[in-house]
Amino acid sequence: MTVHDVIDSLGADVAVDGDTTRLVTSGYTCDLLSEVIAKAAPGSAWATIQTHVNVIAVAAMVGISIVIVCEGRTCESDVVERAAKEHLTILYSKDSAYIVSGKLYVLGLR
Amino acid sequence: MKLTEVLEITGATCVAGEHLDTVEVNHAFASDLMSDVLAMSRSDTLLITGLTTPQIIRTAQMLDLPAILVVRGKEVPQDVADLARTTGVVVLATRDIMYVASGKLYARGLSG
Amino acid sequence: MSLEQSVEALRYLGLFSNLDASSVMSTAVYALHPEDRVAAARILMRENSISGVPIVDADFRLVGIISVSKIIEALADGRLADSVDSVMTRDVVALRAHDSLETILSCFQRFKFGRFPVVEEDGKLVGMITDTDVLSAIVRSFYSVYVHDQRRMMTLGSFSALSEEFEKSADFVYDISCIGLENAGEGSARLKAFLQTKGFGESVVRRASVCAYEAEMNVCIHAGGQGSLRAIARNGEIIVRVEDEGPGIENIDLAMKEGWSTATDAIREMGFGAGMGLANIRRFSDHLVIISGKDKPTKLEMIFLAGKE
Repeated sequence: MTVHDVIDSLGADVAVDGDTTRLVTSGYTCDLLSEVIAKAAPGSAWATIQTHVNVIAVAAMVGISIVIVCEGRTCESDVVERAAKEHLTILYSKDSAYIVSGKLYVLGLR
Repeated sequence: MKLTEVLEITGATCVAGEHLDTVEVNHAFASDLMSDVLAMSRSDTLLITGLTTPQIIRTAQMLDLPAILVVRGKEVPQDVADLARTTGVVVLATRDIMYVASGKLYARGLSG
Repeated sequence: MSLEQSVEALRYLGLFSNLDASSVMSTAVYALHPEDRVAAARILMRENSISGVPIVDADFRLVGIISVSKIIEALADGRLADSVDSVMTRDVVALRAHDSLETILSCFQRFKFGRFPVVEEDGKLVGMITDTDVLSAIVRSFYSVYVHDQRRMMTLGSFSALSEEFEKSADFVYDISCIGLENAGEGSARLKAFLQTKGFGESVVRRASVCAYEAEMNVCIHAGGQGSLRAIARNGEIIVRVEDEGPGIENIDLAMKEGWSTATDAIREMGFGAGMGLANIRRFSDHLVIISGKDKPTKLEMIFLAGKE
C-alpha cells in the first residue's frame, strides 16, 4: 500500500501533505526516539504521540513513509515546516496509538 | 478478554502474576510515555508498553490497571518483576513489537 | 481600588509576607554629597527621571534627601549654586533592609512621599523604594502564583504555603529523595495505600494518587529529586502538597500546556517528559494552586473533593 492508501483508510486529518506515492511496507508504534532509530524499518508508518521537531529528524533518518500523530495531539509549526521540506506526510488522528495500530493491522499492514 | 487469551494471541509469557484465567481486561492502551498513560482514567485496561522501568508498575498501581504487556522482546528486570508481585500487577512479555501486538489484539476484538 | 484598600486587602490576605525592603528596592541609586551643588541635583533628576535624590556622607551614610519640590523652590530663589546641604531635608523617613512589605506599605500610606531610601543598621544607603518598585515586586510575585479555581480570592486566602500549620497537621508525610528515577513514585504509592485506609472512594483516591505521582515525578525529573509530599485527608476532602527546592517553573502558563516540556532527551527516553504532568494534575484536581517562578522553589497544593464521583 502507499501513503495515499493509508490516508484514505484511516480517515485522519492530513497535517502535512508529503509524498503520498511512497510505499508503506510495515507499521511501527513507539514513543521512544532512540528505539525508533534503532529498530524501525524504512518505509514504515509510524504511530506516536511525540510532537517535537526531533520526530522529523528521526523519520528522515530512518526513511519513515508517514507519521501518524495520535490522541488528538498536534505539532508545532516548526515541525510542520520541517516535515513539508522532507516531503513527509503527517496525519493527525484522534484515536489512540493502539487503535491506529489496530486499524492499520486489519488493513493488512504488517 | 481474559489474560490467558492475551498470552495466546501474542505468544507472550507471564513474568509476574498468577491466575491469569481470572483476570479480565476490556480495553488496551499502548504507550511508552507514562504521563500519557496517566491521563487515561479507565482501570480495566491492559497497558502495552516497551518500557521496563519500575515506573510502569507505579503507573499501573496508580490507575489500578490489572496487567501490563511488555513488548519488543524486552527483558523485565528482576526488581521490576518483584515490585509487580508485591503490588499485584500482572506482567506479561511478548517478542512482538508494539504495532504487531496491538494489531493482533485489536483484530481479536480488544477495543482501545 | 485605592492604595489604602489595596494595602488593607494585602494585609488581610497575609500575602507576600516573605517580601521585604531588600527584595523590593532598586539598588542602582543616584546619590549626592552635601557639598554638591543644587544645580547638580537638578541635572541628575532631569536626566534620570527621578523625583528625589538621597544625600550621603563620605561613608555612604544617609544624611538627607532632596526632592523636586525643593529644587523648584531653590530655582525660584536663585539658589542653584548653593550646596545641597543648605536645601536638603535632614529628617529623612527611611526604611530598613529587613522591613516587611507591610511596614513599607504603612510608610507609603502614612507619609504620602513618593519614595523612601533604604538603609542598613549602620545608616548606610543601600537602595530606594518608590511606589513603582512596590507594584513591580507585587506583580512579579503574582506572576508566579497560578490559581486554578473560580473562587480565586478565597483560595489565595486559604492557601497557607507560608505557614507551618499544614506541616504540623498533616496526616501523611513523605520526604521525597530520589537519585535518578529508581524509587520515584514510592511516595505516591504509599499515599494511595494510606488514602485507601481512610475510607475515601476509589475514584477520588485514584485522582489524588495520580496527581501526587505526577508531582512527585516532577520533583525527581526537574528539581533534583529532593522535596516533600504531605497530605491531609478529612471532612470529605484530600489536600495534597508537594514542595521542592527549585529551580522553579519560569513560565507556569507554558508549563501547563499539554505537550510542552523542558525535559531532556534522556528523560524522554525513560518514558517521561511528554509534557503532560501539570496538565494531568490540572485535569484531575478540583482545586490547584501552583506557586513558582524562576529560581524559586515550587509549591503545589491540590485539593480533591470526595463528592465528585
